[in-house]
Amino acid sequence: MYSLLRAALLIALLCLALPARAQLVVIVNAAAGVEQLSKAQVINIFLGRNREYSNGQSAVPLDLPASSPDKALFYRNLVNKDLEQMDAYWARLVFAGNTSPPRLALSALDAVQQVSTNPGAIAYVERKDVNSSRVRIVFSVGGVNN
Amino acid sequence: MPRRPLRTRLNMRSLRNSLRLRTLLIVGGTAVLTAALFIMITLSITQRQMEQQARASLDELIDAMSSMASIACFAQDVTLANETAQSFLKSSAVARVSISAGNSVLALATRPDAQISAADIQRSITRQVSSPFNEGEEVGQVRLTPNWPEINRRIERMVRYGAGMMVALACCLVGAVALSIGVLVIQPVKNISDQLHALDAAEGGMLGQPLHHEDNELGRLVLDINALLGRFRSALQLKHEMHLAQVLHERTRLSAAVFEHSQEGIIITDADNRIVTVNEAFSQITGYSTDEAVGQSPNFIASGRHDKDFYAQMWASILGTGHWKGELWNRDKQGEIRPYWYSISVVRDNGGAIANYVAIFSDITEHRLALQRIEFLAHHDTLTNLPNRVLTLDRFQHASATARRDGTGVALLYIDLDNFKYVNDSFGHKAGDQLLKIAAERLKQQVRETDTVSRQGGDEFLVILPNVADEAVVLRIAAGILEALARSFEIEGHALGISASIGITLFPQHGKDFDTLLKNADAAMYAAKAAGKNTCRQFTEDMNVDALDKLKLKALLGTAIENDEFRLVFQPQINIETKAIVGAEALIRWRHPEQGEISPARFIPLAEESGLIVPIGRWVIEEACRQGKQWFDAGLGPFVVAVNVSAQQFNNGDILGLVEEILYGTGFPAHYLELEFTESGLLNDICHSISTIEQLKSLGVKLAIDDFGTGYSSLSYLKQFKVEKLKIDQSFVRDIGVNAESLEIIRAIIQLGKTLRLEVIAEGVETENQLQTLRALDCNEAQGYLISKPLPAADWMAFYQSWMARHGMPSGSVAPSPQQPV
Repeated sequence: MYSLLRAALLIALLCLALPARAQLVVIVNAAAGVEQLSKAQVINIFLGRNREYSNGQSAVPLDLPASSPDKALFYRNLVNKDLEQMDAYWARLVFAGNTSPPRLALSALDAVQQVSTNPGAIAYVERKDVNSSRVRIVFSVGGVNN
Repeated sequence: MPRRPLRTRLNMRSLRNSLRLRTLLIVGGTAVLTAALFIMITLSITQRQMEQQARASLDELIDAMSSMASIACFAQDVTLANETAQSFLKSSAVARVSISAGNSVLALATRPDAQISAADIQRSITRQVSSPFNEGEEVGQVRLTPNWPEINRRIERMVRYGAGMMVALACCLVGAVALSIGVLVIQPVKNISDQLHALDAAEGGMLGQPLHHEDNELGRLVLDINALLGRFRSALQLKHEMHLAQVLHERTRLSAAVFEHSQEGIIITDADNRIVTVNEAFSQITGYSTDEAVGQSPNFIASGRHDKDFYAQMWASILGTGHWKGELWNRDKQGEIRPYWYSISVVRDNGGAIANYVAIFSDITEHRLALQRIEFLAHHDTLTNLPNRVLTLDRFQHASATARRDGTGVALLYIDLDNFKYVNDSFGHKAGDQLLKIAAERLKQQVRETDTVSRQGGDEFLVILPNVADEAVVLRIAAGILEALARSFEIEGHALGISASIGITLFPQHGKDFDTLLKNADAAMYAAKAAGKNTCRQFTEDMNVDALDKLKLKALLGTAIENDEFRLVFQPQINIETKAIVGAEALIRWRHPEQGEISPARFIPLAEESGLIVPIGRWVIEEACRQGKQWFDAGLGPFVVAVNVSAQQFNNGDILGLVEEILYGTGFPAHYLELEFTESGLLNDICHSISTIEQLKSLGVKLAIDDFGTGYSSLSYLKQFKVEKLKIDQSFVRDIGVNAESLEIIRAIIQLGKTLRLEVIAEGVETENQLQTLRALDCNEAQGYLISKPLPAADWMAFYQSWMARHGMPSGSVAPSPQQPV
């Protein structure tokens, strides 16, 4: 009976732990005219495939530094790749092609700052870091709205 | 190894060749077909595999490049796409590559040296490219056009290499098979075949075991063949023995049949010469049966005709040489003694001792008679049964040998019947043959038993007198023969009188051999004939010359006229009373440029024999007339020109036409031409002679009978002939004063002339006495050496003129007045 109890307890603990994880969202300048983006649109923009919105506004993606755990989390959740794989991807394109990876933001705050000031900018940050009304959450990573 | 005939060797070679060739063909063909099949299969498999492989490697290539392509397509990065495309082209199997994302072509790269057909593009490999981040999402496609020419080249290389290997393998295989068949099968079979060819099975030949093949199929084959040869040989031997037995049996049967059915008598005796058996023919010939003969000595049929020496010689031959052949006279059971031809042989046993004597004999009575007849015919003349030339020669050889030994001599009497031709012509050959038979009988009566009388042919006989010691004996016998043949012959109711001329030669004085003696005797006989016939002459050397080269003379005579070798001489004829020259007898002379003067006595008989007398006679008449005409034209004469005409010319030549033609041609007056005939010439064909003479007389020609008194004068004929003149033969004139008989004959002839009103001329007057005698007998004319020898035409005129002048007469009238003869 203990073992059953212990398993149930473990499952409960795990379920309790999930809400503790940080929730990443994709934000754009509120003046960009974009209300919402699909996951495929987010992927296209961040992986250099199509860097403009559906209204023709060009999109400038911003990446977080590699030291940020959110970066790995973002790509894991977005395309299920780790950062090394992402580096290899970009290495190919940078080495042979002419597509460049997103510009690096200094931090999440910097990313929010750049998005809020640059109408084309787009970045991923933790929901709790979205503190400006000039940015708009257009996609929630790990959310159901994709 | 003995040389086999070429054909056999060729056959062997072709057989061997065909075997080896066939093996090669089969193995090689199979190998080639198999190789070809394998190559084809391999080719198609290889091609498919290579193609698949090419596709697979292209797939792999695409796989290898997919991440890049995926990224390029995803990122729609033209540069990366181009980079990726270039990477694809690094594989030579790729001719062209295009990378596209959605509807836009990101990169299109083509190998510069590639030649791409539309079909190649159709066969391109297209691969969808999915997103690097979402396997399910297709973000583009890669389209590869394989470099088919290059791929095909590679396939071809592979296939060629494979095929080469295969062919090499096939060749090695075929070579190995052919070599092993040659060494293991063909060579040993050839050896066996060669041996079989060289082998004579009947001689016991066997095949040798082939080396290294003793225990295999070939070894067993040789053993089988040898066994077969053995069986064949024994069968052959058996057959040969049976054949020998058959031959022996056949021979024995034949011998028995020959013995029994032989037409010749056969006597077989034992070693002691006791009769063991005789055959049927023996009994038939001798009359004694087999039972009577067996156990006897063969001499029980001896005739007793042969002496002891004969039998001793016979036995010496039998025992010495093993056989004897010869004649034996036997007495048969009836006691008749006949000759038999015997062949006696000795039969010896294997040890060489005498086992039997075999005598084979046949009756040769008929044979002997026939032989005797043949012998007689071969040596005798069938008409007279006298020895012929062959036997005569034999007799002479015998006689001459005896004469040489005894120092005596042999005489040959060559006898020729005078005027035999006349008998033959007048009374026929039958009468002639009868006369010859009688003559032969008379000749035999005249000689001794040891002498030989033979007939040489025609009317010629030869008598050989051996052992002649005294010539007088020969002459006496010759005289006896002449006398015997001069007696008249009673034939078919006619009493025919002929005579003979005999030439005598003596061995060894007149010749050492028969031919010479015979030739000389012939010459002597002619001399006897020339001497007036009915006489004999002994040979002298000068006769020989006459007889020589008769044939040569005949040949020369043939060309004498055309070579102008004849000429005429003229002998004056005078009137005994007035001494006036009344005629000239033309006489022919022949001078041959090499042979010199040839006497008419030699060549006239030859001319008569050969028929040349006709042209010669014609020449004489023509020349005489020509000459006479010339003299008359010169004012000489006139006188008669007398020409001798041969019997042949008178009888056979057209004398009438000839004389007429000549008289016309020369212009000589006919009544001064006198033709002289001999009695015998006129008597050949009396009717013809009478008519011819009458016709000649009608031309005006005068006729005289020459040599009157020597032939068969018949007064009645003489009257019928109506000639003008008789010419007394010189033999009578010569005998005037010697032989009273001749004088009487001359007187009779002159009387006859007077009675028949014929003129009479005497020839051969050589002495004044003869001339006076003739004058006293009232002979009209004379000619002879007393007056003049025959003169050449050139001398005639001088002689004529001087003679006439001497006797007080004119030498000629200016125009000769022809006088008709009385």
